[in-house]
Amino acid sequence: MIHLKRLQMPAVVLVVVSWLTYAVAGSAISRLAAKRFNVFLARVSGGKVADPALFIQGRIRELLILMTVALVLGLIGTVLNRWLKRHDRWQRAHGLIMGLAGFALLNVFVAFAGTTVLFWSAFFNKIQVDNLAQYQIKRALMPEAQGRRRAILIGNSQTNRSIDEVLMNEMIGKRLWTTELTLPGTHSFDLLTETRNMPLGHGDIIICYLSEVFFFGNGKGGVVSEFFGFEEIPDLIKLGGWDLFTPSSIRSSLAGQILPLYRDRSSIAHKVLGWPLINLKQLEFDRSLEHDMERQAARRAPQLKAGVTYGFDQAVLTRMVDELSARGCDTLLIAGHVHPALQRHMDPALRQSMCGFLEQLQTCGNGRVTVVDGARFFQPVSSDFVDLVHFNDDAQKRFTRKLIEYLTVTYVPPRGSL
Amino acid sequence: MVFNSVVFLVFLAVVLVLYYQIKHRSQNLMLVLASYLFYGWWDWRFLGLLLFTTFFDYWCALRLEAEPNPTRKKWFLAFSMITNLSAIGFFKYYNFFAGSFERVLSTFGMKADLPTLHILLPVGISFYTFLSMSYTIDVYRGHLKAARNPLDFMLYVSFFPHLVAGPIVQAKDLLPQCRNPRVFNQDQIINGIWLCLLGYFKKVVIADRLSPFVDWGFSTGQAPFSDGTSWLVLYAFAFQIYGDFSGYSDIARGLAKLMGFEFMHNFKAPYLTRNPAEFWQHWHISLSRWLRDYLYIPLGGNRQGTLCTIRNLMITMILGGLWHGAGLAFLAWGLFHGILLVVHRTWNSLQRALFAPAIPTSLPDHSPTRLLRCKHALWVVLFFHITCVGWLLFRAGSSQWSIISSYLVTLCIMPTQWSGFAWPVLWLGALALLLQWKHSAMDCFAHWAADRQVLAVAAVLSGIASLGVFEGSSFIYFQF
Repeated sequence: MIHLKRLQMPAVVLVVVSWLTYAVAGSAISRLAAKRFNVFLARVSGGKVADPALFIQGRIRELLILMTVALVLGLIGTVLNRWLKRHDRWQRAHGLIMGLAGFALLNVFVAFAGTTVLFWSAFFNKIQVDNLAQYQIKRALMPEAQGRRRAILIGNSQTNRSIDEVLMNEMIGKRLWTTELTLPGTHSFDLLTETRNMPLGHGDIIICYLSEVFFFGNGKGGVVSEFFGFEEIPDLIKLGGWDLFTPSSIRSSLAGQILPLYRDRSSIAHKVLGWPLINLKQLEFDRSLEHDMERQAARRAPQLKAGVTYGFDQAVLTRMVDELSARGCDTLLIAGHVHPALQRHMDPALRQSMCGFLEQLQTCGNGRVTVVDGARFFQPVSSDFVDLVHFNDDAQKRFTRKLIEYLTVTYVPPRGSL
Repeated sequence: MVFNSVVFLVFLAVVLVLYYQIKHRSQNLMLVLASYLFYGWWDWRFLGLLLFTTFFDYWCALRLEAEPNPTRKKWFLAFSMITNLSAIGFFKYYNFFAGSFERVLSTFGMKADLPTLHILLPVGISFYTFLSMSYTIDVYRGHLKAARNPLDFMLYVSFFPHLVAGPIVQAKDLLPQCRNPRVFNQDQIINGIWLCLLGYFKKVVIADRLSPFVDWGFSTGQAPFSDGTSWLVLYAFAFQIYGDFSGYSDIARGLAKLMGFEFMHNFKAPYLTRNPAEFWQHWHISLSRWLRDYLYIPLGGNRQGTLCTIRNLMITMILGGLWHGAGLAFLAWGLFHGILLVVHRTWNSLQRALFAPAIPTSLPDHSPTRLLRCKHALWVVLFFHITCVGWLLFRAGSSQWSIISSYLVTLCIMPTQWSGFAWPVLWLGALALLLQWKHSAMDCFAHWAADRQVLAVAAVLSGIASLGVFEGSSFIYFQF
């Protein structure tokens, strides 16, 4: 404690001087650093960093914000500590109360840090991917893509495996900057809460790849608890989803809103305990699947049906496209495909129903919603899939190229018009 | 209602608020009602057995105390023991013994069609039956006066912190606490809160994080492993069961402290012990003490010569193994520890007989102390690995002899590489060992320096929030 007291004044001075330096020379320092690390940044980010100088400046600002937050929280802790010391009544429980306060302050710090690229970079791993960390980094980087139109890929792992953002940025990055904000296992309500939390702007294109698995896989949307907050409760009730969520998933989501450390536990556990242990259940599930797609499809297809969640999904997606349109965003919904074997075994009425609903969506949102059949880009065959729902790399590239052609014609203005 | 569920936390909050508002007698009544609600939450039908055990032993103890004739006294005790053991035997062991009996007969070419009953095992039956039995025996021995107030005795048997997974608190320790008004002090409450936090940390961070890996390692078709994974799985289970059970015991002791009660330690530093005798003084201490006081010593203990001591040890450990459950694996586990105790005892006797004169009574300074420390550490490491082999029997279960044999083969091969699981298992294991190393300090949290308290509480809470598993998984020892 004595040492901490001694550090207080130098810390205040350091933060103030840092902010002043940033205000005076932040942009120049960033440009210099960008020149030095340009190649490295391009290699690490796979071309996803729109402007290296802006990127570095953003990280410096984040560092300063985090330093300031840490300092303020430290000062609050000190004040509380002094107050407790003055009151005899709390003497015995002083350590316990300060421990609780420390935990609370740490959560406040994580709440701030959770909006920064710096914080999430600590959890980034290119090989053993932490989906949430990747998502948060890309989301935090969105405001830095300026001067170009932006395409945001949303949805579940099918969007991820169907559209290659790196290829898109390589081919049309200068006119349309693409970022992928997908999370595996995402369902309709997650999409709504995710898009509400995205820093979207007028003219952004939201692209989502949807297939029968999304609508009829009977998911209830309890996966992405990070974005479901107290403010969403009225909507969840109004849209008829309250009974579809398990009480534990609702509790967990709301607890995550109060305790950011709890909300980010999957990424922290990933980092601290390693990828194999945390993903063991998923790995086991993947291994348990039959290698024969035909047999796997025959087993899986009867499970796909229009259950109680379908109506809720429809209501939620309708709300989402309305909200996106109101924010001036264009929405491109791709009626995607699954493995031909699964398609064969599945009730054909499901696809009809899905396509019918998506066409209805097109009428919402003041003409800002477009629905395209995935087959317009290419009709996938069995060899295009790695499993029942996901494209292989080659099919992903082919699909992306076709999508780029479509986007170039439909959305992206000719070079030089921006 | 498990300790790591939201329902329990709400229940606890209500109980504590009420408890602090009312007087001693009403407190006891309220705690009994709360404990029955807690137990009935699993299955209300279990309440009948709990009530029967409580009132039967309450009545037996009163009769035992009032009976002047020693022979009739003995008969009463026998009646009490037989009734208690019959209840536990019926619910826990019937199917096992019926099946084993049929198998034995079939080896001699005979056939018996004993009915297999679909019996639901009442949660914690072994714990509260042993608790209740210890009371009757103590009254019989004259160590304890029979409880006059049935409410006090009901509270002793059913007090929710210890009801389903111990510690098996003996009547002479807990009954007076039920009888007399509790005296609160701030330190006790602070220590109680700390123990609860520590227990939750052990459960949701150490035990529940390791649980999927252990389940995977023991699932059919996984073993044998070519790398060091076999050892890792055993380490993981050793730390999982420690985190799970000692975590439960910590929460139980913490909850008791919050209500002004004191429970005995159930765990000290079991994986930092050098031999089986030490191990059983550190692991599930309340059961070890029960077995020692009510089984080993009545059998004659170590006072009737070497052979009788060996017999008594083996009987005690085998029954201790079977206490955990009906199955050959538990029997084998008890036998394994019995053999370890016998070997250790024999080795000690031999050492004393052969080398005692050569060992100097006082050691010279410096190097020998260090040498002794190294020797101590080596024995700790060696005995930990022996304990892990015992856990293999415990965890694999009777139906998985193939897994046990494949593990035993791979355990003998020196691992040439470690899988990706090594880091988390060793990391969480190191945490478990650290908590064991500092176990005595954990109990006097209120006397720590304020800085250490702040760091410890913040670290434990942050660990629970960011690394914990919150799927409301049950505690391993509930099944016993």
